[in-house]
Amino acid sequence: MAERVNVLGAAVFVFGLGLWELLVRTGLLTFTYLPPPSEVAVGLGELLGNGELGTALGHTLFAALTGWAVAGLVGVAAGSVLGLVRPVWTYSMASLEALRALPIVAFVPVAVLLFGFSVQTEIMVAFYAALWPILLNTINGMRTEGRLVETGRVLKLSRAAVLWKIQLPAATATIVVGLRLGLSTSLVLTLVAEMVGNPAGLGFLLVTKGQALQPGQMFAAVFVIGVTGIILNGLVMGAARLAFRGQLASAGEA
Amino acid sequence: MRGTPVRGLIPLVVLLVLWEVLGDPASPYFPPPSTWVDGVSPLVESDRLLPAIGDTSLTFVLGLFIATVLGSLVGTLVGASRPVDRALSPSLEFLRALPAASLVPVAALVLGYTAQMKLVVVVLPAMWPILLTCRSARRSLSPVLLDTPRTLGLSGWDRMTKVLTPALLPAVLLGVRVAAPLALIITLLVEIVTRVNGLGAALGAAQSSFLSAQVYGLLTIAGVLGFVVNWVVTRAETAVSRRMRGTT
Repeated sequence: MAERVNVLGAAVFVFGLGLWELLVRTGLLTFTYLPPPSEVAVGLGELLGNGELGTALGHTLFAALTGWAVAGLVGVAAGSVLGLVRPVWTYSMASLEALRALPIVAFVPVAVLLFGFSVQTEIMVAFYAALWPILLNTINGMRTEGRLVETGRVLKLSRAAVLWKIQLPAATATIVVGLRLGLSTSLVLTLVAEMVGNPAGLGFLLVTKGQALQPGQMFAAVFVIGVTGIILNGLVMGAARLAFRGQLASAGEA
Repeated sequence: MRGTPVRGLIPLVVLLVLWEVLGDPASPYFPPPSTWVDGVSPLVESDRLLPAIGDTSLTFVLGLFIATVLGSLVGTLVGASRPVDRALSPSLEFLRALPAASLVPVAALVLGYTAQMKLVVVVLPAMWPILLTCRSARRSLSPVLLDTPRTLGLSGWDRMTKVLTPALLPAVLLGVRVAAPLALIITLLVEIVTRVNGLGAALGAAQSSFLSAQVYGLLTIAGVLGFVVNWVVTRAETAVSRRMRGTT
């Protein structure tokens, strides 16, 4: 559904920025390191100009997307097995539930310990962060709708055909949700890994700009991270819509 | 998920036992489970573990509480009126897109390395699930439910406490259930990145001094905390929504 341009919403957004600028300029908001939006824009220009931003963004995207892609393969494959083969589920789901209770960020120090200050740390963290939503959503997606499977059996479809023609399409919408959630968590955790582990990428850029007391550039980096998240989410949604139009529509996702 | 068979714990137990039997106690990467206790005991002896857990829990509880209040207020407001929704949603969507991790250095620079900074960073991301469920619940409220008390001449206060709050409470609690694990994760995240008090700070410190057994020990404690939080919140939510279903 094409949405009309939300003029009112855009106006409020711009008004908010203006108010922020005004409050900082007139000294009504007195935080030492809170830059007005104009300074953030200047900071963005500086980061773009000296190429720092492009390098950092490329590095972060590479780590986050690599981890996410591997998690997608592993998560969908393992999730399908867990969702479809009942004994496997019975004899391992509780272990997964127990492991899932461990807060993901708490694994960042472990990853730094194991892989050092390297890009592997980032990729491992991104992988682990994305794996959970993808795995659990695939399991749930595959377990639903016993009636559909029975229909397939009545129609004398082979086991493979039931999997390919019924169970996988039925699970698609749920899996796509898992992939989207996984992408945003892997981006967040990659940033954390860069802040405390590997000195590279947007996370490290943020920390260094903070330590160098350059709030303009730091807020600009935050802005870029936010926009990146929105764009990535949009891309995944767009790709999913193109690839699985029917399935998503039937699940009310499109 | 409810009704997961306990038998499913077998692989995890087997893994831990194998790790214990085959692991090298001196390994800098994979110290076996029995060494974890020794790893954490210096923290217990120097009386740092309990304050750290207390700090993390306090930030978590306060942060979740503020997020619940803010989230349900803004959610109700935005859900009640389409124009307000349209006016605020682009700004809210943009704020929501900012990953919690990127807020940490910003908050640390602007507010300093303080407990307030931790709270701000926890509240912002934890607010969203509550805001969103509350918004859609308010939107789908039947107009009859809102008009009836007005016809009966109830005051604004009575309408709010007797009609609106009970009607929206299940949605708020559902939001809280989603927000609670998130709030705990963000609390640990802030602590790991800024090293301001708490379990996360202890984890970060253990990692940078290569105390691997302590890292695994603290990870386990964080896991238990996560498990407790999940259990309490899920229980509370099911209990309340069961009662609510009886009244509507």
